[in-house]
Amino acid sequence: MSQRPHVVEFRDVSHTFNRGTPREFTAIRDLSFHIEDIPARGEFIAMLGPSGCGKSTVLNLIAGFRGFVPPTRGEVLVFGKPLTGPGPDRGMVFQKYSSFPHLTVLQNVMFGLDLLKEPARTRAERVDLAMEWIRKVGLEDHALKYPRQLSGGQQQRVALARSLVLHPRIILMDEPFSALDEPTRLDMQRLLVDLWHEVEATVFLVTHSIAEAVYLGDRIWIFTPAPGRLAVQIEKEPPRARGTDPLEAQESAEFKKDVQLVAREFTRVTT
Amino acid sequence: MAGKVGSLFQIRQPLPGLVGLGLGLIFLTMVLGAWWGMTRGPVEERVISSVILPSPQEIAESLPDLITRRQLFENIQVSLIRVLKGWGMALLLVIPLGLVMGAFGPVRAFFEPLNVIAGYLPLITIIPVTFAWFSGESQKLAFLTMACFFFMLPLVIAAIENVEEIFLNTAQTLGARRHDLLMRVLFPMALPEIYSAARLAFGIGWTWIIVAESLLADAGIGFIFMSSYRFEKPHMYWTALIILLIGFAADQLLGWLGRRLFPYRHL
Ligand SMILES: Nc1ncnc2c1ncn2[C@@H]1O[C@H](COP(=O)(O)OP(=O)(O)OP(=O)(O)O)[C@@H](O)[C@H]1O
Ligand SMILES: [Mg+2]
Repeated sequence: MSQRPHVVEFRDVSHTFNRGTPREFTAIRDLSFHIEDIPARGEFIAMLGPSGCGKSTVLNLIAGFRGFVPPTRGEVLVFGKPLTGPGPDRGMVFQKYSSFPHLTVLQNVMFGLDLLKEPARTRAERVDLAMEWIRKVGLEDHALKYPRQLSGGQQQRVALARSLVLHPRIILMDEPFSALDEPTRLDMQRLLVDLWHEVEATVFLVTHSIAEAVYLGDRIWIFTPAPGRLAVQIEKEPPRARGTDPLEAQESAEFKKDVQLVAREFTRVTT
Repeated sequence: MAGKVGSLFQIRQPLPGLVGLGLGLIFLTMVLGAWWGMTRGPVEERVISSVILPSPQEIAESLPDLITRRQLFENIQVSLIRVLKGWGMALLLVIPLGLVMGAFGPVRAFFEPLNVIAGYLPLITIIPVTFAWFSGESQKLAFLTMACFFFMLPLVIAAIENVEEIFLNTAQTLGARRHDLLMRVLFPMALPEIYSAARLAFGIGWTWIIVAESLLADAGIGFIFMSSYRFEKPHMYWTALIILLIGFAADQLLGWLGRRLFPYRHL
C-alpha cells in the first residue's frame, strides 16, 4: 500500500530572524507536526497563541515566502516535497487588506486565473468563473469597484474569492477577520464554512478569538510564547461540522464549556 | 465676523474654495495696483523710470510687436518641442532602468553611480558638459534628457521600492512568476508615483530649457527672453509671464490627466 504524502509536514523546524546580528530572534523552535491527506476532505486547523509566538511565521513557512525558504533548521514539506517558494496550490488571506488597489474587484479575482496556463480558458470563461466566485462571496453588485471603495469585510471577501477561485489545496489565513466587527466576523465565518465545502482544502487559520477557534477548528493548536512550540493539540468535532450557525453555536452550554477548556489551556501554556 | 475670520486661522482648517481664490486675487490686485501707481503719468514724473519698469499699458502695447516681429508663437513652439523631446526621451530611458534598479539588487548596485550623480550633481554643471559634447539642437535635447533623467531616477527607484511586500507575496500565492511580479505588480502599482515624478520632471524641463536657451540659442522663448533684456524691456516681462503661464498650464493639464489615468487614487 502506498502511503499518501502528508499535506504539510514540519520536521524539527526552527526559524531565526536576523541570524548572526545583535537582533537575532528565534521565533519557533523544533516544531514538528504533520497533517494527513484524507481524500476529498480537508481539515481545519485553528492556531492560537500569545502575540509574537510565531504563528504568522508558521504560515509564512508553509507559504514559502522570501526569507522563509528554507527554514533556519529542519524541513518543511508540502505534499511530500521540500518547498522552493510560494505557489497557487497554497492560497493566503492576510489580516492586512491586500487587494491590488489598481484593479477592480473583478480584475483582482481574475489575477490568478489570468496567470494560469492549465486549464486553458478563454477570457470570457475566466470572467464567468471570476463572476461566479464574486457572487459566492456576495459582491456581485461591487464587481467593478476598486478596493478603496469597499469596507474591510468586503475586502476580505475579495481576498477569499481571489484565492478560492484557484482551488488551492491549502489555505493559509492569518487573522483574516480580526479587524472586523463581531457581526461581520460571524458573517465571514459562515461564508468561509460554505465556501470551504466546495474546495475541500486544508485550512490553517490563525486567530486571536478562542470562540472562532472552537467553532471552526477540527484541531485547535495552542503555541507557547516565543520561541514557539506546539504545546497543546485539541481534536474535537466542531459545531461547524454539524452545520450549526456560529451565533446559535455560541448559545449552547457545550460550546461555552469548550471555550472555557481552551481558555484554561491557553492560560496554562502561556503563563 | 471677527469670530469667523478667527476660525479660518485654526490650524489645518480647510478654506472654502472661493475664499482661497479670492485671497490670491487680492494679493495679485495689490501688486498690480502698486505697479500701476509707481509707473503712471508722463515718463519723467514717474516714481520708477520706464527703463527699469515700464507701465502696464506700455507692456500691453508691446504685444503685437512681440507676436509678429519676434515671432512669439513660433518660438514658444520651438521651446515646447524641445522640452517634449527631451522629457520623452528621458521617460523612455528612466522608467525601464528605474524599474529594474528598484527590483534587482545587482542592477541597482551596477548603476548606483548614476543615482549618486542624480542626487548630488547640480544640474547647472551639465550645461557646459553638454556644450562640450554636442552642438545646436542635439545639445538642447541631450541637456534636457539628462536633466529630466537625473531628476526622475531616484524617484522611480523609490516608487518601485515602496510597493509593499504583501502585494508581491499575495501575487505569488496566485501563481505570479518573476516576470509577472515585475509587470503586473511592481510596475502598475508604482505607476501613479512614477507619473507624479514625470509631471514634476516636465516642470523641471520647462525651467531648464529657458536657462539653456538664455545661455546659447538662436530661437526659443528663453532666447527671446534674454535678448529682450537690453532694449525691449516690455518683451522681457511678457515672456516671463508667458513662461510662467505655460509651466502652470502644463502642470494643471498633467494633473488633470493623472486623475483620469489613475481614478482609483482619487475615490
Ligand atoms: N521579519 C522579521 N524580522 C525580525 N523579527 C521578526 C520578523 N518577523 C517576526 N519577527 C519576530 O518573530 C516573532 C514571531 O513573529 P510572528 O509574526 O510569527 O508572531 P505571531 O504569533 O504571528 O504574533 P501576532 O499574534 O502578534 O501576529 C515575533 O516576536 C516577531 O517580533
Ligand atoms: Mg501574526
